[in-house]
Amino acid sequence: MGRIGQTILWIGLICALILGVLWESYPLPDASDRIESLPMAGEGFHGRDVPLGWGERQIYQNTHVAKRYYRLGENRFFLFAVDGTNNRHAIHDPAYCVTGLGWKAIKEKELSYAGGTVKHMRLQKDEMEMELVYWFSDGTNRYSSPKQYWIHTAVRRLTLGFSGPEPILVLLQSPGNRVPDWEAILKEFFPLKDL
Amino acid sequence: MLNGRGSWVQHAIMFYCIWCSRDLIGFYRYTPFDPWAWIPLILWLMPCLCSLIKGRIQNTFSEGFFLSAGLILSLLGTVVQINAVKYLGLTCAFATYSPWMGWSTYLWLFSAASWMPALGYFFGQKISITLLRFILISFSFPLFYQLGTKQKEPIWEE
Repeated sequence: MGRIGQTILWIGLICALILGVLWESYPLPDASDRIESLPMAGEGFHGRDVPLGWGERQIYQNTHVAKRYYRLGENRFFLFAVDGTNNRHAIHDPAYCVTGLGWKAIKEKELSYAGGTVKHMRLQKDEMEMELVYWFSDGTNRYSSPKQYWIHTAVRRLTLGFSGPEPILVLLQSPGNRVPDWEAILKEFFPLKDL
Repeated sequence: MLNGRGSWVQHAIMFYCIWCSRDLIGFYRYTPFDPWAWIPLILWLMPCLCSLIKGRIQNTFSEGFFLSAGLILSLLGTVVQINAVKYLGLTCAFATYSPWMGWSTYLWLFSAASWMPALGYFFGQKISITLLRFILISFSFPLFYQLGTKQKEPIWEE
């Protein structure tokens, strides 16, 4: 490579360093407002905060997280809402995480919800069973595809947030073997629509 | 130019790409599902380390292309926060340290997939990920063989 080529690469490297620092230090608008506005109690439901475990605190560093236990009529469930604006790597594909932890998916299906789709999974590990319902939401669009989430967040970072609000991960989990009526929860637990 | 030890800009870009890909160490240390993922990386790096130690880093026609690609992909991966893009950039930067020996070098480049974390995500549930990683790293063996037997001299820029 000639001297001109090397000079061009030096200039490119300096530009990359400057652009990288500028992009990383630009404060993207986050989705913390949507998570913090999640009510603890309301008509027909009440909940409580659940402290994050040590592992969860490590994974969800620099994110906004709500972990709650809710009761809606006879239905009980855990709710996780995670905003990865400041640490997108904290948001993993829930289906990959749970199967990596030894759970086996015995049933998977997509459910329609508020103009989008959410994923419902039934999982089994030894004698235990668990159900999950999850999706990504920017407040308007809802989808369960992690690849769509990566594209969505990549475009948002490239455009410095001008492409729209940050999508968050919303995950509902059954407590132990008690399987709630997910369709009833999605229909009656109205705060989910604001996330 | 450092007489067969590469150029300063090459090392600087390499250092930048490694810095951008530093999450790779965290993945190798903490992943509970893919504990042997670091071994293919060590194997894959061997041709680069040999060139570096022997002071025989070549200046091929493609050096500028791979350094530019490494720089652009590492920056893009940083901006969009997608590690897989940064690792492709790292692969491109390492490619400039490898002996350039035709088709076996292309196979070696392809075998970089063996140490990438994304492999486990996309294929880990269909096949044993450790087996898949070792199958993929075997694509780099023709280059090792050529280097070991010196059947073919590296192509040097005139």
